[in-house]
Amino acid sequence: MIIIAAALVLLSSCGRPSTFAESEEYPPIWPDYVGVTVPPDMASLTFRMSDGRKFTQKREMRDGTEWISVKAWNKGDKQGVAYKPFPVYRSEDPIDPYIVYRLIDPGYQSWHSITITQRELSSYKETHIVSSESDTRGCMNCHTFYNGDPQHMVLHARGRGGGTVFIDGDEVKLLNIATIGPKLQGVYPAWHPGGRYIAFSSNSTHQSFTIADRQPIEVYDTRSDIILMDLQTDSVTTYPALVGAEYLETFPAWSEDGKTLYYCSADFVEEIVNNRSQVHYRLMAIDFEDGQFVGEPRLLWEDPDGSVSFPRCRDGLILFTHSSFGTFPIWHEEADLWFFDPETGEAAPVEELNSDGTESYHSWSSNGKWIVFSSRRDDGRFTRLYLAHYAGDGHFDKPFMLPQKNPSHNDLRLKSYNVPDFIRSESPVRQKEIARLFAK
Amino acid sequence: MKTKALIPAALFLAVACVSIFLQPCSLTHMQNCGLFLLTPDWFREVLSGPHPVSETVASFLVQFYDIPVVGALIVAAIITLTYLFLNAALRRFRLPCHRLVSLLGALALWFFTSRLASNQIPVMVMLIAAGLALVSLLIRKKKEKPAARWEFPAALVLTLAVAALIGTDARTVRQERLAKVEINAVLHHWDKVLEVATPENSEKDPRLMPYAFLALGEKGTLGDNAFKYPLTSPDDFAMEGQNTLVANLFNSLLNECLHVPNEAIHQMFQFSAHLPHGMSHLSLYQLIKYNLENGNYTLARKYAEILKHNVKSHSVAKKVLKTYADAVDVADTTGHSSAHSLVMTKDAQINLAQMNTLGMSTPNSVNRFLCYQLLYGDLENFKRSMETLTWPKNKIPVNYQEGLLLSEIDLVYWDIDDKVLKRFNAFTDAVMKGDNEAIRRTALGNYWGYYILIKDKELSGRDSDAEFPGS
Repeated sequence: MIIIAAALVLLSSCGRPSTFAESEEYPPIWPDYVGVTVPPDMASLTFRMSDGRKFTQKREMRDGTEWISVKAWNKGDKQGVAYKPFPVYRSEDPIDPYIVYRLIDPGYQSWHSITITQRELSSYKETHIVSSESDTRGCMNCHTFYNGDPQHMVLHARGRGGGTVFIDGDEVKLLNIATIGPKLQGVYPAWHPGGRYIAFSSNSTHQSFTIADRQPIEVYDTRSDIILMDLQTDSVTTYPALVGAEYLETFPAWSEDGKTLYYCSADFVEEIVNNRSQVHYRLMAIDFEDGQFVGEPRLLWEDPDGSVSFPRCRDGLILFTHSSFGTFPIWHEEADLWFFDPETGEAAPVEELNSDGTESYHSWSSNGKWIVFSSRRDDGRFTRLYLAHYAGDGHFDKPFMLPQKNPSHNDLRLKSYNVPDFIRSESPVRQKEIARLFAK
Repeated sequence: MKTKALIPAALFLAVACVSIFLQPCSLTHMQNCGLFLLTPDWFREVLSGPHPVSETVASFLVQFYDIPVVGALIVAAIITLTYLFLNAALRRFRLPCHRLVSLLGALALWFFTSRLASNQIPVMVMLIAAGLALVSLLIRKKKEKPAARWEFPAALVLTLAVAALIGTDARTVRQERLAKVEINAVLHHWDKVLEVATPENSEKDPRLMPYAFLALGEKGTLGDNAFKYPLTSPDDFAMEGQNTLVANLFNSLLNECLHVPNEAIHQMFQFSAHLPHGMSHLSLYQLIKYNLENGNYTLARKYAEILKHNVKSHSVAKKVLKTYADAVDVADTTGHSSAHSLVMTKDAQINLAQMNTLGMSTPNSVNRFLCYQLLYGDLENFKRSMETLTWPKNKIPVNYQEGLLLSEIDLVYWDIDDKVLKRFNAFTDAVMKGDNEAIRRTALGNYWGYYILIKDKELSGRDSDAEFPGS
């Protein structure tokens, strides 16, 4: 026993210097968790030295803050560095227990497999709710849940035999919305807070590949409208102000009381591939009463040099993605998250959340205290998820990358995270039920 | 050697020899398309698949196939072990002639799998045979009957027959040729590409032609040799707009050579999407290479980090990571903002013209553009394009001279070789006389032959006599 213990001690200290120089700096770690704020029951934040050095860490909890001390060294160093302990603040604001996202190959027009996956935030447990195996490798996109309830889910499946999958408890059905009413496909959904209606944008989406540019792809719509589906009658209706070739309407989002639909709208531009820089989406709103849209659309905000995507409303503020033009900000390095205040009519970037890379799709937690958003800040190509605590008054605490059991998993994953959203409980695995729909 | 060891020894030897001498590139191709990674996502995907054990074993083994000797020995081991396991099981089940029956099974597996681009099925069969052998252990062992005298010669004949069958199987030969061309194109070994992608071989497999034109373009001899190949339409020239494993790999390599990294990466992802893991050893290597060339070191490091988790490529990936550990990404130097940068179209000619507009032309891209004009029979624009280019004395490529002669040029201003002119006169004489045999002879292996073909196609149904602007 003594020999084994001695060997273990020897092994553990192998290569580690005996002395450490004190540093007044925080350790350079990746992901950067220095000074972030995490929910009360978040899985432990794991990291590595960003320069690949070996390290040890000591964690200590003091007054609701976790202090992490890091000592780092290179192989063969006689002296290592003992960094200043850094804080990880524990918020008292709870977060939904799960997030759901799509895992997809980061490149281009085809893919090997797509999964809609859930992750428990208090652990590292990740399960696939459904994969593209179930719809014979068609594209699965734009999942949404009613009020974060995994028992009520909608997702769109493109390709042969495709359509929109509606999940209501144990009932799973496939509807091709394009064959109902105005015969328009449902793409980006927004579930009304009342539960009965879903507003969809119906997009004819294309993509072009640049010959020589840091941004390799531009995705654009040649036509888009907004339609309304009534889940009680399985009917689809349109509203004249929200359809037509003159404007491109997209990204519907309901206000919390369900009385207003926010969306984005741009003027239709001829030869859009070559004139794509002229496509600027505005933030719009239209009233909704008794199951139908009423009145004229209202312009809330526009930027002649910018474009609005993914408006998401919470506590009277609208968080959206701002890019220089177009409708697909994930490929725009300049895309950032902005807040719009309807009271003042002003919009401004949320500096705490943004980086030199892309920030794009985002969702609020059910209590409005947290957001999850996608960002390509780390390598410019693979989208990863960040969570941030809402501190109020239009400000967030420093965001942190979704932690993994082994931090190298963030490097080794060959998929991008996409369309992140919160859910209030674990979703059942839907693979078999959905596969059955496509087997018919 | 004991006589009962002769059959497996002969089988092993035959499979190893055929694999190493007749199918080395097919083995490398398998490695290129496979993927084995010691990462959580890789294992999760494989373990949740329908054949986790065989896929894990097959993927592990395939990573070594790019060393043909090792690959051949592994293939031989798989086939031989299958024989041994089958024989062990059938012997216990007391099947008469169990050696020959097992051999027939192993030989059938060898023949069948020699035509496949994956090693998963042979590994799976080998594992099933191993399972059978294990189960057979439950049966009481009986004294083995000695093999009949004729069994060993019969086994040898059978093995050699199957070896000959595989060696001459048209599909296997085509597969090996294409793999050889692809692998050498990846390595930019253009002479080796042209050794295989000859006009004769291209008759049998038109998929070789685009590689031949790529190699000729890179060697600077496209304009002299393109129309020696059996071209029948512009579609034979490249694999534009096709979305298959073969086409996506070619398009990626083509764009790499034309220095269009965005499209090279795009096509490499498309190539990967056809593969069982959505990525492969080759894809990772190429993505590292393209991103290094593009100055995107962050992404190159990411792919190298992933490749580091491959047993075979660990040290190569580690070297890349060490070399580029501190490299800072090169900012976009193209000067084209995303809003206005030109985009790829489905028309190769337009893409090449756009590259010219962007100042990205290479000698290969210019030659490809000229060839497209000839391929479409667009002689007027071909002549105009030629007028914008400067050619050293006696250096206008032969096929271009042939095209110019058809576009009614003033011979005073063009440096046309006497031999070409003489051939052209013979050709026009034959056309004027309607001497089909002479036309065939004088137009064989040059642009005029192709031109007749496309004009015939255009005129078919109206008037079979082609018009020759130069006549």
